[in-house]
Amino acid sequence: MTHDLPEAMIKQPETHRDATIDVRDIVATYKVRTQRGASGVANLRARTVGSINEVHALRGVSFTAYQGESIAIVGRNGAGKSTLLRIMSGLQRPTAGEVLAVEHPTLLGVDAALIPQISGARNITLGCLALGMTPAEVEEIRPSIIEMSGIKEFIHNPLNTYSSGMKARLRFAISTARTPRLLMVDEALSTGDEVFRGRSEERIRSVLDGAGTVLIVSHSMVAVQDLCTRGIWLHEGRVHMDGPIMEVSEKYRSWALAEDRRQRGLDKNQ
Amino acid sequence: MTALMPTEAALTSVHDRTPLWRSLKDTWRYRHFAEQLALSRIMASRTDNKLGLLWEFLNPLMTALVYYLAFGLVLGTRKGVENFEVFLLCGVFTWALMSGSLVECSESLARNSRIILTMRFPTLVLPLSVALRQLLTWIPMMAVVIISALTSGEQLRVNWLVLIPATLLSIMFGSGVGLLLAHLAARTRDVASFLPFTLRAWMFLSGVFYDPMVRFKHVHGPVGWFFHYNPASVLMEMTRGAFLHTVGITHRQWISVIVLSVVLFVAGTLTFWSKEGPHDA
Repeated sequence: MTHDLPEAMIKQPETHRDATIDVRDIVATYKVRTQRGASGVANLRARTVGSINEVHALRGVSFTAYQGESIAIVGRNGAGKSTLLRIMSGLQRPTAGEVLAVEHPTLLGVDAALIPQISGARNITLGCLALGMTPAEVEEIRPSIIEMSGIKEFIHNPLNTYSSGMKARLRFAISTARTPRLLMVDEALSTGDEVFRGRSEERIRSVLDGAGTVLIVSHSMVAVQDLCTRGIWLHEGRVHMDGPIMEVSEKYRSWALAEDRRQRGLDKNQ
Repeated sequence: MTALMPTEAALTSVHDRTPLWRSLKDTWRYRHFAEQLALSRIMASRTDNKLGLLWEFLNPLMTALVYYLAFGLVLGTRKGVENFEVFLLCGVFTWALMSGSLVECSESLARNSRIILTMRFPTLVLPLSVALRQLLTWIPMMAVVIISALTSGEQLRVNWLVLIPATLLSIMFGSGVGLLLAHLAARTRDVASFLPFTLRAWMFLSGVFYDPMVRFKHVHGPVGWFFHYNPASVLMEMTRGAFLHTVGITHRQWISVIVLSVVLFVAGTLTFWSKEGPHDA
């Protein structure tokens, strides 16, 4: 799979700015129970509970992000993007290596802590309190969340009656209600209409203006190209390329296209 | 001399362990979240029912009714027990409070794995929210017991204040055991599958619908000792003692249940905390 990869390129960014997050040689290995290859009475235990297999999600990832930088992390499925994001946000401990940061990063995931059966208004309360706000701060910030998510008339309806776009908007509005210094976004920009995309870009810019750093994980280069200044391409658990977004995205796109073509060619031959 | 790096000092590891004191302080800071989570969960759990929130105490009330018919009338455990209705209600409700705290605390990590994976907050908030939820559903249950006690001719007495330690100790004992199990339950579903049977056996031995202190008075040795100091029985008798002067617990039983509840609660909290923080890859 690694042939056809363009030559690895790692450009060190200027160092006069202040670092916000420093990722040092992160390794992540999962132990996974498999169900394959076990038969016969002797292998009863292996058949019922499976045998242990090691999966190397990350094999030593290092980079430093600086104030005002917005970084796109790209790569194919299984390249280790989501694992890296979870480790950077402190939710998961790496097998080796460390992550140093100015503050605990805010992770904006697709699976946020919202409860589907209760109203949007109650979910705003719950979400903001989970972020560590006081009840007074929640009330202060509530109007701007409702405005940002654009769900004014549905605010008292249960969340499970919302469209997926509405849910994504609400989640984004809650997570970014208080401008964080480190914001991590997991594919959130793929949902939502043009108006919302504009608003969320505003929020991301406000993080950048406040001397923060934004990291966005995405399959789609188009969504992140305008928003990001730097691109990191992960391939099989390693940083394959790290540099200005335009260079990385161009190389990544042509490689992905070639990969697709090769894959299709293989399928046809079979 | 190399150049100074002022940023180095400002950066801290995102995977550092939180010390116990900080963790407890953070949990207190997140108490409003625990409260809202408890309320939201109660609301969310009953939205599919027409009777909604009413089920929160219809459920133990119906359990009491079934036990009344099956054990009280058919098997005749009612005989020789003064004011069996209040006796039974106290038993069912106290068991519901204790075992509810136990089961939900043990499931607090497994059931909230999504929240834990996406948001960072002190995880002790989750059992705190369980305790609050149990307390909220306990209030209407106690209202039912008080009404049935008053209508069956019991008088308002100072003894009713025993309900306060009975409530606190039931929650502490139940959540203490639950907290000890929580991390194991998050790792393997076997705990959740095994727990209901253990609890059912324990409940039948604890005398929800009969008085083990009377029935097994002449049993000696470890078995008799179990019936005498079984914390579930002692807690039920404590609640009953508030209303019925024929039921009461000895000083030794008081001490045993207080010590056991406090020790389990502290041990559970420490165990839960010691495994807090980022999951290993």
